[in-house]
Amino acid sequence: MDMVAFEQSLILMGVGMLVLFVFMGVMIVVLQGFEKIVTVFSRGKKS
Amino acid sequence: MLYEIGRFFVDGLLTLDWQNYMMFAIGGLLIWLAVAKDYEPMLLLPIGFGAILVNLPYGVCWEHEGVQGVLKILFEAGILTELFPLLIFIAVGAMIDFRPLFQRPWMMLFGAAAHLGIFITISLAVVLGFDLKEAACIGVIGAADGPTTIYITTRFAKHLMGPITVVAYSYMSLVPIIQPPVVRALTSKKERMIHMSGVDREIPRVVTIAFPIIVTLIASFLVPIAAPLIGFLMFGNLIRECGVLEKLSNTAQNELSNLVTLLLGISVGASMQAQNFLRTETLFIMALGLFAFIFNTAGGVLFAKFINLFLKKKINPMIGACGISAFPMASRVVQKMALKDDPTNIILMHAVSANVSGQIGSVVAGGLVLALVPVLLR
Repeated sequence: MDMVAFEQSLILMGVGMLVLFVFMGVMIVVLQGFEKIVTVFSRGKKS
Repeated sequence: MLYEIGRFFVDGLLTLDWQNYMMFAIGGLLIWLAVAKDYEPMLLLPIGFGAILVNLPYGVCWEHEGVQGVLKILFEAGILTELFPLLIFIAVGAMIDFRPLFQRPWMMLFGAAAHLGIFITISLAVVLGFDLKEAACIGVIGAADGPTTIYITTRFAKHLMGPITVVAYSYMSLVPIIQPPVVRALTSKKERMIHMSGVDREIPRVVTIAFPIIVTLIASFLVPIAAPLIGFLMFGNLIRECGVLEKLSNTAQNELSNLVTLLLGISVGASMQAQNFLRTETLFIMALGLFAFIFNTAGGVLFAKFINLFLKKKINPMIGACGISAFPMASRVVQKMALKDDPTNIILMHAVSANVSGQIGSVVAGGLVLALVPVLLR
């Protein structure tokens, strides 16, 4: 077994999963924030 | 003279060896699975027939006497240039409704958790002797995302295109068989009977229109190399959601999807030349592909169970299994399982939310693999 390649694959796993969760987390925050802004804006427009 | 004419007709047959006949059998099996079992017929049938065509005498459909055959032209123009997978993404994007996800944005976390299997499989493939690039292509099979798998294999391991693609699409069609035993093994009946409530609210139109643009920007800032993948997926979704391109949206969902699927299938089948396909690696790829699917499902379910440790109102852990890209198959499988244990348990919309986030997750995970592997190999 190629130990260097195995280590690289473990780093890939760590970094890959971390970035994937960060991306999803950012998307949740942005999506909720954006929806709130739109809702507030549309309420203001109606009144 | 008669002898020469007779030889002319027999020579083709004599050029074939057992490997070609084996490939005819495999092509026939794929066609049988498509026709008799209805397993992804739109893909398995063209792939099966492509496998037969490319193994015919003299390889006329691929290359003969220095002249490129039609399958080689299609393969080079559509697969090696990454054109077909990207066009498919426009169609897929136009088919996805992200509204269920907007109702429950936190479901996006399952789109990340259910991709753990990709990375575990990459490590396992390395242990079995594949180099990191080959291992990466094999791991991505678990995302249940055919176009992304092809896209990455084109970049990293063209020589494994045939087995990887066939395995990816075959397992995608087997999601209803692969997922239930894994989910059942990891959950109790009590957990599977958890009801999930929630009233759907109206989502402002501007949010549905802005979403594909925001996802494209954030994903491309984070993983620039994934821009074509996520960009084309979200372009298709923007066409759907903008509300002024109904004709284009319908074309993307129907004509474009059908036409490109047809060409993609037969081009992938063309990569199944006997000498490329009948190798020990193919068996390993089959086993590892299955492993990736199982661990992706397990990753999602276990993550849901982990979250439940901190929640007062528990979520149904089966939802986690929907974080893969097989849309809407994974959601249907989970809903069916929920109904089996409790005929009043409707968790479909939650399952769909996790499932569409899996679509985004698989593309981003693919992009991460594309970006990180060359960095690690430097």
